[in-house]
Amino acid sequence: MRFVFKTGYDQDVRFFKHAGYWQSYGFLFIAAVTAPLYLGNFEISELTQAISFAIAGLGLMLLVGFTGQVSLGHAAFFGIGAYAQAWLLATFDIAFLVAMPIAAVFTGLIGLLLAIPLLRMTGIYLAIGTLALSIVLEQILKSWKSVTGGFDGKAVEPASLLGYQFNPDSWDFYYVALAILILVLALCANLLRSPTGRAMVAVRDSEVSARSMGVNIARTKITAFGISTAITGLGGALFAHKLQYLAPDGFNLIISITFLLMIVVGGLGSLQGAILGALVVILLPQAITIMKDYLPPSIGHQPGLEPGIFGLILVAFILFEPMGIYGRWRKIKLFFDIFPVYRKATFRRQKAYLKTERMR
Amino acid sequence: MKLKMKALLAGVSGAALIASGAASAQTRGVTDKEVVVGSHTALTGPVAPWGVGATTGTRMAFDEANAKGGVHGRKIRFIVEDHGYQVPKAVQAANKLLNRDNIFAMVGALGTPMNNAVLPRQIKANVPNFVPFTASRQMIEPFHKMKFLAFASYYDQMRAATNYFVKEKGFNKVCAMYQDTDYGREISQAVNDELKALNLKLAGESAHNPREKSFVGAITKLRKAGCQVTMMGTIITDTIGPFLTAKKLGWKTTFVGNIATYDLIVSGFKKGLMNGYYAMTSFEMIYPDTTNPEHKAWADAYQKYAGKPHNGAAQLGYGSGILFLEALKRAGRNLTTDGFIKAMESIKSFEMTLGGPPLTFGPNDHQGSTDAYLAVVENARWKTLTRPLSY
Repeated sequence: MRFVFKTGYDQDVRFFKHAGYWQSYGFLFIAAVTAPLYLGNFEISELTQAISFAIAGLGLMLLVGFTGQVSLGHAAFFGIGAYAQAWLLATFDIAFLVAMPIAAVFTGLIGLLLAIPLLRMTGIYLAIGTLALSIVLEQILKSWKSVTGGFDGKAVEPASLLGYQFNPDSWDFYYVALAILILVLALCANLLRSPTGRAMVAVRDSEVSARSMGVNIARTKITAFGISTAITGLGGALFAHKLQYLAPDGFNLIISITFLLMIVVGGLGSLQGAILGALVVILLPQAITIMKDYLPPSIGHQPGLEPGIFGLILVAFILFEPMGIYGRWRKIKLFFDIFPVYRKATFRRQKAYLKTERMR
Repeated sequence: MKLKMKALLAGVSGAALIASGAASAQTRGVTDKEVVVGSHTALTGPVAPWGVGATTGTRMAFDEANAKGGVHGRKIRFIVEDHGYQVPKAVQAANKLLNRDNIFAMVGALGTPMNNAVLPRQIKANVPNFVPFTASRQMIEPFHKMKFLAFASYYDQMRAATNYFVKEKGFNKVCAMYQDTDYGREISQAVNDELKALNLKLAGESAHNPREKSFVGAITKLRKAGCQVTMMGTIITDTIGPFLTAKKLGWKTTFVGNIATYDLIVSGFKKGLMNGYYAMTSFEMIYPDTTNPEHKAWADAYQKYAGKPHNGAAQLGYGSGILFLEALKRAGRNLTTDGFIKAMESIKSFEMTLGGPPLTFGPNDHQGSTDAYLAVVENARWKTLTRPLSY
């Protein structure tokens, strides 16, 4: 077992608490950077797509996992980011790396505006409100033809920088995505150790206690919603380049639910969970598809096999590990850290004082 | 020392020669024993019956060829990916097919928006788009050597239909009712272009959302315009809906659709309610009780292979499999993508689908046929009325 000897206050807010973190995340970083050396174009392309979902997941994680506000409408913001990116590139002569933050900020502004009425609601009502958002946006995408291309969709101009054209299925664009992901991760981690982030967590755990500590609940929630939607919009902008062709069915309610599923499977309340969840949601269906090629034809050629198996695995996961993949990882880590004395009850939920609030 | 240097140089250049030789001999998706062919289609979702039928038909054709030892000693491995009629999933499926499975050709990819989304990267990867399962004009125009279409496009079909109803039936009040999508607008364009050529004007039109459920307003509008015949740019539910609405309102008129509505669901809807609906088609639907022995044999073989009766999509899918096999045969043992395209271009008067028109391709003509027949629903079954129509 490891004891961290604290010699200063800023040790509490460091990203990496001790050398172990440096080692494991260092290895992960090296593995991610060298991935194109040992993975083919197919795997790299899937990873790029997973990264765009992971960024959107990080946005949603800030809202659901850290502020405690559920959203069934994040596919809408994913879509706004994607279409904004496509529109910016088609309308103005700007580099895609310049257009991306503009698309993200634009999405965030829309999120802020919508948050003002939406976040007056809580719990199930908020879920319904954001659900409506998902449905409304899909209709807008279908009807606003001059900007979105309607049902037919809209081609996205290829990502290019100083005359170099990126191939969205290849290693060069993977590095762009990876860099953006690391940037967003750093931003989120930094936000969570700032007063704003602490206020968000306080609101999640108990609004009454947070208010009594002097946290402005409305402002905190709205800020969280704005930041969350901006990050999701950035993920959408990246996704637009990955896809190269946008159609309204890419941003419907199913995707909203996929996002929520992604962060729950990954592990609510951890940034790592958003990334693990995105890897599962993107890579698992492809893994099932590949496995299908090796099955006997009588089973492998059965239509509807992939969604069926995918659904079963997810149901099993939520039944047997409600804390998600990252929760399971923490349990395994703790098991070895304190080897002979691990207790199951360590991770049991202990917030008995919140009973009245859970009704809302 | 000098000698060593020379030997090294010779070695390096030798290796380079071998490498370049190997590169030219190696075609993607082709090995000594196998040709890998892919398809992205809808096995789930709203158009699953088409996707499942088409891929089962194609697979049946390939399995028959494989049972006889394949083509030029190569068996065909057919990998089908499901996109559920969603663009992002189609792109993901195409990523697997193009980058992992390294397919030689895409056969029968389904859906216009899905094809549009996948085509740029597919063409970049040098993979022919062989007879996609959509008759949109974009599948053949602008011309590209990688794009092949077997039959008349929606545009061709509806121009021919308009021409027929004006010239042979003497109608002069022609209307258009279409989905407000690329697909629907292609049909409206065809009707307008043909009317212009005949010095007529469109009498009335109505555009709707593909998920529209109520058609009373649209039908009332068309009725007020006095339409004698309405050209339909619709698919399944939005074909049945307006047709029955007109019937219910007591309006006697004619509706004409295209191959997208030439389906057993449309003809068989509530056993006869759709009687009198016209559709353009590129092939003739085979029914299980057909008297043609050749058709009967095929229908029985399909039933045995798939464990259920075929639909129109299965007929087309089987046909595109046969056409692909023919092109492979002509391309010879030394199979390359360019060789395959040349072989396709050499096919003349080839009957691909039972009850379909003969297909002829050429160096700058990658559309097999522009012929289309007119069919009508009688006793809840499709009946072909005319010789091939054109404009």
